[in-house]
Order: sequence, then C-alpha cells, then structure tokens
Amino acid sequence: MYPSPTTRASLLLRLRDSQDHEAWMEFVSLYEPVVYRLLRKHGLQDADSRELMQEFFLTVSRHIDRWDPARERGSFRGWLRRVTRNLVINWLKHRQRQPVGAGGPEIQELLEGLPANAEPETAEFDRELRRAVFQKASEIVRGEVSPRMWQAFWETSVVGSSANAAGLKLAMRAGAVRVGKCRVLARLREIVGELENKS
Amino acid sequence: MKDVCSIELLKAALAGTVSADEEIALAEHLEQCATCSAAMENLAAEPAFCEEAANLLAADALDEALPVREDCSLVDFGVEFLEPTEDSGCLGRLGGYDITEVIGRGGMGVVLKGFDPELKRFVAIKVLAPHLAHSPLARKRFAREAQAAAAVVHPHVLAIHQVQPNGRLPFIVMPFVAGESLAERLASQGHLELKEVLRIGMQAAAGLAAAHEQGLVHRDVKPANILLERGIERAVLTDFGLARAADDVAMTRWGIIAGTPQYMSPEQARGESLDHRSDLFSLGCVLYEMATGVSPFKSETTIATLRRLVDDRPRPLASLNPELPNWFVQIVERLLEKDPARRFGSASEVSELLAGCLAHVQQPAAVPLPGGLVQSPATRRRLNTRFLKKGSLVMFATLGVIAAGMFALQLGNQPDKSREGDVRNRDAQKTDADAPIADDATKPTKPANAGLRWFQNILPKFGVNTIAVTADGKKIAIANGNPTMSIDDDGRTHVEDGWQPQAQLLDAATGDLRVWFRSKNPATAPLVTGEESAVWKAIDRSPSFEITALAFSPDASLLAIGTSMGQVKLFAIRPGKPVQPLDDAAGKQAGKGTPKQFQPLPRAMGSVTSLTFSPDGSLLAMCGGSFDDVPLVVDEEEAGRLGSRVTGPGRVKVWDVKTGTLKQDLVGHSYAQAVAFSPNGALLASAGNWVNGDGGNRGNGVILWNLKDGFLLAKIGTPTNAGTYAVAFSPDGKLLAISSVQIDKDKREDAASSLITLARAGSGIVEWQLKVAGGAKLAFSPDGTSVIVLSHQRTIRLIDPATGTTQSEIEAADSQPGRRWDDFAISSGRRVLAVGGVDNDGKGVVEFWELPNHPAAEVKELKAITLLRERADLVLADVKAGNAKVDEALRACKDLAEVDPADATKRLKLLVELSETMFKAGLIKKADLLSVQAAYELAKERN
Repeated sequence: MYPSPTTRASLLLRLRDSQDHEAWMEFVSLYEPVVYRLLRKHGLQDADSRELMQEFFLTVSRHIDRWDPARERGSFRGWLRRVTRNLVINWLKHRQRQPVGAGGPEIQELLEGLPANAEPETAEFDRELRRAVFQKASEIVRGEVSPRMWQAFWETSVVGSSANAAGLKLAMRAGAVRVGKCRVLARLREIVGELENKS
Repeated sequence: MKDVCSIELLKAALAGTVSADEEIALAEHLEQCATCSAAMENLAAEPAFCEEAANLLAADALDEALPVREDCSLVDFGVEFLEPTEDSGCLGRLGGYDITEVIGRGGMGVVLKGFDPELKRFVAIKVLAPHLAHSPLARKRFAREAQAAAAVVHPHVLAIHQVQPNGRLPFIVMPFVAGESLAERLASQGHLELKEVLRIGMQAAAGLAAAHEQGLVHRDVKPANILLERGIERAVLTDFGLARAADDVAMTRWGIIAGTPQYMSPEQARGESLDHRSDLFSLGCVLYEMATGVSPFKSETTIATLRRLVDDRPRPLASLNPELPNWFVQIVERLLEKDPARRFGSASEVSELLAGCLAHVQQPAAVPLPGGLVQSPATRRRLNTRFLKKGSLVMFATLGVIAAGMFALQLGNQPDKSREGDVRNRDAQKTDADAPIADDATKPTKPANAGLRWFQNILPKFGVNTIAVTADGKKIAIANGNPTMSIDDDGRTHVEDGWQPQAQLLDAATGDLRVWFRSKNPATAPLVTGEESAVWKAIDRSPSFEITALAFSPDASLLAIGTSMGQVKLFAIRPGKPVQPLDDAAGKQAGKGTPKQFQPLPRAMGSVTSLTFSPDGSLLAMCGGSFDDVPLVVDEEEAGRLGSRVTGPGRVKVWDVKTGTLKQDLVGHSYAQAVAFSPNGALLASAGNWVNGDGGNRGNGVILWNLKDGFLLAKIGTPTNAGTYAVAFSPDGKLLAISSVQIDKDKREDAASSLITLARAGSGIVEWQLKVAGGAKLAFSPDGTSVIVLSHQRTIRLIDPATGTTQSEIEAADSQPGRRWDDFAISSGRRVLAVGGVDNDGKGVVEFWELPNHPAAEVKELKAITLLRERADLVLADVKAGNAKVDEALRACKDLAEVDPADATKRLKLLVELSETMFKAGLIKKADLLSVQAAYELAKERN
C-alpha cells in the first residue's frame, strides 16, 4: 500500500563503524518503538517485549559487522525484519520449555499463531517503521514552529476539526489556521523524506 | 502587491519567507478563495500523505506502554530484566546471584545487593544501563576498564570479584560494603574535623596510588565514590574507570555532560588528555569539601561549574573555616592548581604527606610536621598598619552584622580605629561631603608622572567582585557571592555555609545600614528590619544565587542588581528613608508589594552579566546569557577554548525604568557580556560572542544598536578567539574602547590575554590595539582623556585614547603584596576611581584613587593645536599648488593664531608671500591681498 523505501547505505555503513555513537542513537531511537510495538502486536507482554527489544539491538550490534549488502539477499530492513521474527520464535520456544508457570499454554498458541509465511509481517514491520518515522518527524517539526502553529495543524489534520472550529479554539483566524497547517505539513513531508532516505 | 494566487507566493508562505503583512493578507484571502486554499494544500503535501500523517501521528494504546528513555524507567527496567526465582524474598536472579534489593541508582545503571549462595556472602552488583548497553563501544570499554580495575588489589580500593561483559546486560560484581559514602556523610555532617579529613584523604590517596601504579586513572574521584566502611572506618575507592564508559554514551548528540562535574579537573573539562594528576585535582576538591562542607567550584549550572574550575581560584579555605592550619590550606591549594605540573607528582606522595600530617595532629608535641610545610598560626591577619598612618582613614560604619556588602564612602577626617574587630563605629564623624580629598604621603605611589593619586581605603570583610559608585562619589555598592562570616551584636562571628548573595547599602550621612540582602539566616541580621526581611522573602525564591551586576542610576536614586539567576531587581534609595524595592506597576502598597523586578531571562538562561542605566536615567539595559544549552565540545581542536561553543541566544534588553516596560529585545549575540549606552543615549553597544549566519562561523566583538528602532547598526569584530568582555564609549560618543580575550593553547601560565581595541564608533575603524595580560575591564575617564584598563587583576593603566600609549600605571601589589583587584568604577562627578579587590587572606578592600586632571587638559589642547597647524599647512600647500583659495588659507591661519600665535605668524608670512605672487599674476584681487597682509601684521603684533 505504501511505497517501500530502500535503506540507503548511509546509516548502515555508519552503524558498522562502531565509533559512530550518533548513528547508533539514531538507529535505536527510530527502531525501538517499531520493534516494541511489533512484539506487543504479536501478543507478548510489556516486560517480555522490552526484554526482546534489548535482544534485538544486541543481536544487530553483534552481527552488523558481518552484514554484507552484496552477499545478503534483500535489504537491510529486510534483515532487521528477519532478526525480529527469529527472536520472537526463539523466545517463544524457549519459554515453552520452561517449567509450568513460567510460560503457560498461551505460548503454544502464540507459536502456532505465527504465520508461516512472512509476507504479512513485512507489511506490518514497514508500517511500524513508517509510523516511527512520522513520530520522529513530528517531534522535529514541533520543535521548529510556534506552539500555536503546531496546534493549528494538529486540530485540523489529526483531530479533524474544520479550520473555522480550530480557529475559534485557538483564537486564530481560519485563514491563518490554514496557512499554519499547510506549513507544518510541508515541513513534515520534507523531514519524513529525509528520514526515510537515511534509514 | 503580489497576485495572491501566484504559486511563488504560496510556496514562499509555506517556507515561511513572507513578511508578516503578506501573511495576514494571504490568510484573509484564503478565507474567501477556495481555489487558492486547495492550491496551497496541494503544494504542501499530497492528500495521501495528509491521510497518513493523520493516522500515524494519532496516539494509540501502545504508545502509553512504551517507556520513554528516562532515568526512572531505566531503573525499573534494570530490575525487571532479572530472571525469575522461586525465592519470595528475592527480586530475582542474575548471573547466579540472588538479588535482594536495589541499593542505588545513577546515570550509569543500577546497583543491586545480591547474595552468593555458594560462597555465602553478600555482593554488590553494578548493572550497566540498557541505553549504554546498546552501544557496543560502551560495552567494550566497560569490560576493559572493569577488568583493569579488577587487577588493583589494595585495602583502599573496592575489589572486583567478577566482570560479566556479555549477555543482555553487562554487570560487575563487587563485595558488599556496609557503610555510607563520603557524600552521604558530608550531607549529614557538614564538614569533618581535621583528623578525619586527613585520615580519609590519606587513605583515598593510597588507593589512588595503587591504581595509578596499574596504569589506571580513576577519572571520577568524588565523595560519592569514596565508601566509608562501617565499624573500621576504612575509606575505599570505588567506580574506577567506569566513569569513562558512561561518559562516552552519556554525551548525547548535543554533547551535554551528564551529571555534575564539580570535581572534574580543568584538563578534563577542556577535553585535553589527562593523566594521574587529574585524579589529584579531584582529590583536592574532595579534601576541600571535607574541610569546609562546600565543594570549591560549586555553581548553579554545569557550565558555570566548568568555567569556574577552569578559570577561577576557589574561595579561600580560610574564609570558610578559619580553624584550618595554613599547611593544610597549602596542600589543598597545591592539589587544586590548574596546571597539573604544579600539583604534587604522585598520589603516593600525597598519601605519605597526609599521613605525616595526621601523625602530627594526633601528637603535636611529639611529632613534627613533615618537612617542607610551614607552620603558622591560623589567626586572622592583623589590620595592615600602613593604613593607620593616614589622617583620612575611614572605617566602615556598619552596625553589627557585616556581610561583605555595600559600603558608603565617607570622605574626610575620621578618628583612627585600628582594630579590625571594632567595626561598630557609629560615631564616625559626619563630614562635609565637599571636604577636600586628603593628601596622603605614605602610600607608595609611582613618581609624579603616575597621574593617579591614592587617597584612602575601606576594608570590607570579604572580597569585592563587583563595584559601582554614584556620580557624586558618596555611595559605593559592592557585592560578592562568597559565603561569609557575620558579626552579631556582641561581636561574635558566625561562619555561614553555602552561597550567599551579598549586597549592602549604607547611608553616607548617618552610617546607618539601610538594607541588606542575604539568602539565609534572617535570625542573624538584627539590622534588617521586618519590612526588609519580608522584602527579601518576596524577592528570593531560590536559596542561593549570586549578584553578578550592579548599577546606580545617574541620579543615585535607584540601584539595579542583576543576579546569576537572570533576575534584575530595582531598589529605590531615598534620603532619610529605608531603601525599598520599587513597587510594581500594579501599584501595591509602598514597600509591601512585590518588588519591581524585570525577569529578563528564564532560569535556565543564566546570569545577568552587565547592567547599566542610560545617561538620562530613563532606561536600563542588561545583557546576559548562559552557556548551558550549548554543546560542550570536547575534541582536541577546541581544547584551547575552554571547551565551549556558544550557540544559545545571548540577551540584550532595555527597559523603561519608570513604567517597567520592555523597550528593546535585541538578539544578535550568542553570549553577551557587557552593555554600554552612548553618551547621547541614542546608541547601545553590546559586547559578546556571536555566530554568523551560516551557523558555523563564530566571532566576537561589539554590536552597535540603534535604540530608536532596535536595528543593528554595526558589528565590530575582534580577532581574538575567546570572547569580548567589555565595551565603553568615550564621553563625546565618538570612540569605543573594547576589550576581548585571547586564549593561547600552548602557554599554561598566562594562558589568557586581552586585546584592547580603540575604534571609531561611527565607522568601526580601529585606531589602535594594545595587548595586556589576563582579563581586562575598561572605562573612559570622565573627561575622555584616558582609557582606564584593569588587567589581569593586577594592574590599572591609563592609556591615551589618541595614540594607545600608556600615560600612567598602578599595581595592586604596590598597595599590598598578593592583592588582587577585581573591579573598578568611576565616579563621573568627582573624578574618583574606586577599585574593589581582595587580599591573599580573603579579606576585601576598596581603594580610592583620584584621577589626574591637569595633564589631561594639556593633552586636549595639544591635540587641537596639532590639528590646526596641520590644517593650515595643508591649505597653504593647496594654495601653492593653485588648488585653493587664499581666503581659506587665511581662515586656517587665523584659527591657528588663536591658539598658537607664534606658529600662525610664520604661516601668515608664507601666505603673504604667496598672495603677493598670485596678485602679481592676476590670480587674486587686491582686496584679498590686503586682508592677508593685515592679518599678518596683526599676528606679528600679537606675538
């Protein structure tokens, strides 16, 4: 449904350079909610999701050195997806082996519930990633504009009020609300584009 | 007017590059024109994108569950990751240990208490925080450092049993030590007694020595990292080298250091390479705090702390705890040397030295002090007898409690009061304010051409950082932020802890203390009336801040105070009445309302660096700022710059004094250090740093603002690298004196020097530049004939504005060896130079000097003569060349004749000759020739 952007080499290369803290922080801040939410959507509890999220990053950090774009089939993002999926599977199996009380019957159900075909998961992963990108972009743009302008955008675009209604609420004229909303949207589009390209 | 439907306009509106008017017009139009509305929306983003944004930005249930990356949730996480256990008494298991409780938490992670079931002992397990565990580099470092630390086996170093660098979260296992950290003990006890200080210091130093021997530098020596084992009172160093792993990742992309760097060494703060001697500096900080209860460089903000520890001497130990022996003070001061080469050579040296001192203190008769330490009684210095010889000595009439505050200047004869304890001198003779300034022959001044004449001193209890004086020279305001001693009615002294902003104002006529601002202990201030205490409580919401700027209004009816919290407070000084804060605009009851104060900076923005009234007293300008919200650059390139790159907005604001309304809010600096009004009140000069448009280029210098419209008129940049700190207009408004600082990376000793620049205010053209050592403050003398520069806290120079040559010079050391001058102020009406400073023992001083008069007048005239002479010559030459008229030349010569008849005569003679030739050639009329000849005759007669 949404175009699937490819991962440009930049962040990946930077991640392989273990000196580049900034790249790691960027990577983590972007992917943390993605992985967490995916895990939760797979039915894991909050605590387990957080734990696996850590495992995800540890795995990536351990193996990133060896990831060769030429050799591996598919994109970096595809690899990340596979890592997540494998982690979930391994974890579920591990919990399954625990004595009764630690795992429980739900685990079996979850395992069986995992689709054999990875396709729907791909879409899910991408959707979460896109969401994370938008959230991050919105943080950035929100920091750039005045609170009023942000509110003008939020009321109309996200909440769905009309420009007039939003204007009344914010003590702005409707025309100004429109200008504000468009300005924020334009900027959001720019930043989302940038972020997608980088990651 | 553009066509409102043009694509260009819409695009510009989206980018935010239209003017405010255009935007309003567009907004109006969009309300009526659906076409343009739709066009704009399409330009902004496709409908698909808008829909996506709406869906993805809205929060859902999962959003609430995801932990934000904050410390508290990390800690919770730290516990949650534990493996499950059946034992209900435990929180969980980790690495084979049963975890019973969480001992502590910090930026780096969590410390857990565990039980080793095999060895049956308690352990402490330090777990690295997950956000650090993400970073492979941090993990590697963590492991490496922990393993190195494990190699140090010493009674005063906390052992490491096990290091687990792999796995979900790395952790370290250490023995569990029952007891409290030194930080906890200091928090509950305040300061410790000398024996304990020596003992703990000696043990910590021994531990450091063991680590240094293994090639480890601790990097984070602080009271929190020194454990005091219960029962046997053994001090143990903890957290070796681990600080480094945390630092690497805790420096976010904005490079702000996590936690307080109070104990950091200057070379660490600058990001330079460091060695074991850096630990010695930190140890010095710890000793200082143990002995006084206060850490030496503590400040409101991280960046202020860093600046202090790189630049400033710490407050003298003696002023905080007078009982400390001199040899101890020396040891600590040596440890706190900015230059590592000047500290002790090794931790083992320090440990041995402290051990020897401890032995002496325990048995003073039997055991002497270790060699090399000078024993001297820890008594307060006696009043310097030099001052007693003067007839015009004034002792401060402060009644009861003094807290390094403001003192009034009383000129004239006073009875001699020689004991410094005798401060309750209410009977000081009231003198006629116009009494002649007494001559003083005992002050060792430079020879006659020095120009400045000293005439008296005042001795406040503590160092003077900031000084202001009224135009008539009758009132002096002094402030400093030192913790102080106070003297109560019975003459007993109390030492008070912590920072205390101090400001006092004395009535010059009666010697009464009018108002006294302090932050603590109203109980020890009998002089502060109920009204004023209430005023104080109303003013002060935070327990401590420093007074960083002072200014009197030109008519001396108002005093403005700027604080390190970014506040500006105004107080009214009315003769015969107690000093009160100005009422706010709401007109509450006089004296009882909220004091008028301008809040120019939100708290985080830092301190007020400078305050000044406009010459007519109607406006008040301030500037300030903070280094807080800016990156702290720690790479080698920037090491010479104190590690700070300023990008935060510096503030320059101007208020209307009567109404309190903000007239100007000028943005242009990244950090503003000083402001000055031009004499005609039309311009404002601000000195500081700035970042150029592209954001990359940094500069510093002076910005000239047009006060009418708030526009930037001119920027005068200086070539120095550190910043511009002072600016002053000449009294005729034509010249600007600027002081900026250069920091040289290579030199350790006098790393900072100042460049004094004299430039024309109109064009920015630089007339001359002069380099002086250290930091510099400057001002013009009231008659404009000198630029007065205080440099390096040691020297005051008078410099000729025309040429940059030094007219005269005085040194603080000549007044008193070891004295330091911190600030000066000029009384415009009386030609008095008041200099505030501090002596080696921490006692403050205000010196009064008379500015020279006669030589200056001469200089002015000479200048005029030279100019006129030059002009006459030029015109004559032009006449000769046939370019100018004779009458112009005649006028020039006549002007010259008024000041220098002899010279004029010569030139007129020349002119006569020229005119005769020209007449003969028919170039000029007879009448012109006659007037020249007449003038010449006249001049000859006069001569």
